[in-house]
Amino acid sequence: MIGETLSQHEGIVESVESNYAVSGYHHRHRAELAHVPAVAELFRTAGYYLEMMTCIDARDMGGNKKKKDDEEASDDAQPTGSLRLAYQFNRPGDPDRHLLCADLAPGSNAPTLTTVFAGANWHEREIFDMYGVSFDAHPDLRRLLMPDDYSGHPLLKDFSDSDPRREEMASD
Amino acid sequence: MVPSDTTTQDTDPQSEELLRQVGPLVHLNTLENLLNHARARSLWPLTFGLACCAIEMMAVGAARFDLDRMGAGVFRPSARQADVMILAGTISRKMAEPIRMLWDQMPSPKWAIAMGGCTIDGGPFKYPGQYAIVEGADRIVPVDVYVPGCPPRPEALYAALIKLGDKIKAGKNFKG
Repeated sequence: MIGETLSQHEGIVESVESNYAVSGYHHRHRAELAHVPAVAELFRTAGYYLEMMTCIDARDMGGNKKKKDDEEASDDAQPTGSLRLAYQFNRPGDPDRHLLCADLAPGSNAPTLTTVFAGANWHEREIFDMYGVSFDAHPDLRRLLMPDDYSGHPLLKDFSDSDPRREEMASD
Repeated sequence: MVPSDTTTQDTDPQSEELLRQVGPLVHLNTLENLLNHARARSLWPLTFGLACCAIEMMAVGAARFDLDRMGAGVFRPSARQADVMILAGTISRKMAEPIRMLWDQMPSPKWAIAMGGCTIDGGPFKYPGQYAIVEGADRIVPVDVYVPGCPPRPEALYAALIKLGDKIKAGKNFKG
């Protein structure tokens, strides 16, 4: 099983079994970002494919503090947490889904997976477009969904639209 | 002979009789009016769909609803050969510029039909602070007929083309 060799792999912080019926994954892993391409290579040689790749903004922006009366309400609360890249690997035939997560700071760079799985190309372009994560050595890192000359990354929690087109294309 | 008062010709019983006879056969009007009658039932839509409404538009073009009955069944693959733009689907902000370019490439006179809720005001994708879509086709092209629905039934698009034909025949000044 790849799970055992994987948990011994360099850069894997945490590796747990998961209940597929509940979570949709057989295994969950947390890795250091720099080691993700090496881990992906391990999956590829074991016959797995990259099923899906995405990112989430897992920062706590301090917006829900009002519920707690004990705490002093601070308007300029600094966000805690980070962005998280999520990779899903699976294999044809007998399904064995792995979730691989790696945390990174907003606006930082990440290693590309296109050298291992060419299909990661557009996934990484979308993540760059929506979250502003730059992938080092990506062959064609352009925006995917927004116009080429757009500024800003819409799915970041601190995003505000400053696009000059907005005035004529939206009503608010 | 000095020509007398011109009104004498109108009261000439011979001319009056002649006009009465050819009346049902001859219409006196401007050439523009004749052209508009031709344009109204010989529309050339541009081949392009933006989102799910395009599926309904394809249904209208196919055998069951048969848009050819209205003379608008030949979708042109070039904007330079088309005179009606059917905006069928959500207009993303990235697509706005290509649509405007296609509209500018179409020769006048030209008309636009906004099909579905998205092209009327943004539809289900409209919310304060949205970043992705154009809230209404009339923000980028002048729209002649709006078709409500999500998506509109093929009959609704059919009715829109008939409505557009009526508008063309009425000879209004067109924005396009």
